[in-house]
Amino acid sequence: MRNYVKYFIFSAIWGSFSIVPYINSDEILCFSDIINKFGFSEFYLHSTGLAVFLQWYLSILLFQVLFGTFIYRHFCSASVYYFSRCERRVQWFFKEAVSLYPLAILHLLIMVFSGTFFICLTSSVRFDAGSFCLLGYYLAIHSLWLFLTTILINIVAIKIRSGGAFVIVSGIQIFLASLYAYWGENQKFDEIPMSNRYANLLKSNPLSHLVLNWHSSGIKSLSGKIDIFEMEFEFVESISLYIILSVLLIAIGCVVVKRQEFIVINIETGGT
Amino acid sequence: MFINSIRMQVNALVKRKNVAAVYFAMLILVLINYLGNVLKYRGSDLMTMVHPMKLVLLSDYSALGFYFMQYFPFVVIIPAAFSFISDKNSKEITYIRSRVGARNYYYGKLIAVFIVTFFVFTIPLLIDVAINCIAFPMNATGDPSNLRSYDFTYIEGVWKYLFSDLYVFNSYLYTIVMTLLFGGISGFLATFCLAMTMFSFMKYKIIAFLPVYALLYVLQIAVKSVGHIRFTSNYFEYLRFYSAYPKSEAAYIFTAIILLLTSVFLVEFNSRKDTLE
Amino acid sequence: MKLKADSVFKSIKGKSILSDINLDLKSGTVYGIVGRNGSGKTMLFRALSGLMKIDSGEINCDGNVLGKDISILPSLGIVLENAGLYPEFTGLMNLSLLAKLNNRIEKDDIVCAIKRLGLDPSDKRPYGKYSLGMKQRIVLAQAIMEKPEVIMLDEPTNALDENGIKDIREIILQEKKRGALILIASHNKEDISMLADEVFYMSEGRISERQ
Repeated sequence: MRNYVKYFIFSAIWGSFSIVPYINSDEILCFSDIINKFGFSEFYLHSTGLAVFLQWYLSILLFQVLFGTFIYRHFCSASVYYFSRCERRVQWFFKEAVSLYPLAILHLLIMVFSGTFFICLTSSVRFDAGSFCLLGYYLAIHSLWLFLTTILINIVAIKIRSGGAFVIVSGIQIFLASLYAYWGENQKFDEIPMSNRYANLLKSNPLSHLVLNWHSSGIKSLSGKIDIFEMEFEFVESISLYIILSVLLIAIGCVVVKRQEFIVINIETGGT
Repeated sequence: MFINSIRMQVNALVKRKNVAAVYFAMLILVLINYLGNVLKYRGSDLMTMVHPMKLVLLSDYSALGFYFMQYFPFVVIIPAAFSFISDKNSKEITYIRSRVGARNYYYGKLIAVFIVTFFVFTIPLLIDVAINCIAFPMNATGDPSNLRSYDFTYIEGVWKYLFSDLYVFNSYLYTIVMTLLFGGISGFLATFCLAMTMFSFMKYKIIAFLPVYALLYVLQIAVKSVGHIRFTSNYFEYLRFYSAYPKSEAAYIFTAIILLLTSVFLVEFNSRKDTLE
Repeated sequence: MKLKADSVFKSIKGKSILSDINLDLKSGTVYGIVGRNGSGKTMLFRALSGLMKIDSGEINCDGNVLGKDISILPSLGIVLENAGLYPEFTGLMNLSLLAKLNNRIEKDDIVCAIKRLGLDPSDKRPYGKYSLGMKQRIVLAQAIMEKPEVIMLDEPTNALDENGIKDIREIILQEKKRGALILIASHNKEDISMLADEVFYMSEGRISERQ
């Protein structure tokens, strides 16, 4: 775990850097606006908006790259020595997976606070009423997504090495993101309030749950900050979906780890 | 010895599955794009037919090309940029260095990665240009934007093309040059990634995916942060052809040179270190 | 060929790993290097071959100073512990690639070297799938295939069975007869006593004794 702490420097650097375009702004920025920016609020449904989406998505890819070997590394150097001492592999995997989750939260917190601190140096930031509520939702949703995608990379890596695993998982994510460019050509997605049919289509894309301002909420202090499409899209819905996916992935991971044979000592190098 | 080092490392690279996989993936993309165009424009009149060079995969008007560009920061490093990590992991580096020395090994690697990446991307795209020239009428002048060549908006758009003077001089030559430039930039990005993998913390191949992606998006944010700059820094607009977004040729060339110099500097720095693998 | 080391010192991160090394080595001789784990045997090979730069002193090969006139020994075959080949390529492919670096030998020479080590050159299995003993044999083949003037073998009999050890000993004697300068680092005292004309004992990066 201690080895991974140094990676949070990258979280702080990226958090500060991604907020650079907003420093020296004449307006007083609300804390909720900063959280919204990390929550893909600048993204719009159009082919040109895709670049904006992928730009903000770098924070997620950063975590996936840095922690994509969190569990897998044990299958690399000295795997035989390690697992010959590990009697209950399923429990071991579960414990490792669970210990990844706090790191996901830490990554997000460091990003948001380093970005906010950076803005505070040159402009004013107002900590508005709804901001902490939004922060809670942001942490809950994004940390679950970071967790489940990173676990997926680790599981696939056990089978096909780290490089291949990242190509597959990031390939799926970019494909899902590219769907927005395709949908963006359809004007029905611009209609407000969005019809149920298109809202459901939008929600069927797991990445949509990351966009905070597409969500709806009964919390008054958040009004005007979110729900830009005026569609039924509760935060709880997104959290539930990601929890279900995470549980499913942990179950798959347990099976993969249990069935893993140790023919080579180091999967990554294909040998010793 | 230096030439032998390059030759050996190119040989080792082209025998790998990564190179073949990306090369064939590019060929398939070119083929799909071509077949899509054939189906779309079959039976079209010469007067309404689009200029064949605007139908290539990297044209701003190709939807497939647009989706390909989303994957580009990842795809560009797959053919060759992992090769240093492979050498280090397999410890083959010791036996190569014992034959050619450190500098010949590192610089040979840099050039080999550039050459392989350049050809993996350039050959399929040049084939794309060739089949478009053969299959579609070369005297067609239409534009996919449906603007006529004397429309003011069209002319204004043309002047925003990267190296627009060359396009005005000869659109076919322009496409070939831009294809070669695309291959060159791909090569530079791969060598940049390779140079980054020479740092000891780049132990796993997965981490190698980060530098190029981060670089391309950092450039985007950096330019956005400077308020008065009126050109885009989105890599899409520079690497695809016929984009009518305002661009800076100087910034493009400057970035390419900086990228190359950074790679050379990192390789020089690492070639001076001892091999203790 | 003459290989000479004069007052060679090397330290890494403040820890001295080679200290006051003086050697005078000549062709047609087998030199044995004996020492405990971590005594600096492998580091000495790295320094003498040019794979590692030295802090002070001089390594001279036929009048050429290593690190100044030449970056690496001009005709060297080396086996280092842990160093390997590309796991996805066959033994023959791996050796062919390495042979391209100097372009001194043909495919027949590579095939011959593989056979000398008791392996099948037409084996289609990739190197990664080889057993430990086979891996050791193929890396020994890469060290001798170009008939180098200097051969450095770090624990050459590691992971080999009885027949393998016998084969290696025979090959070392043949290479000596050819006129190669051979350095062997080994824990196996039998290897050293059977093969070496001169033995250096290493301890804490120093040559503590010569026989």
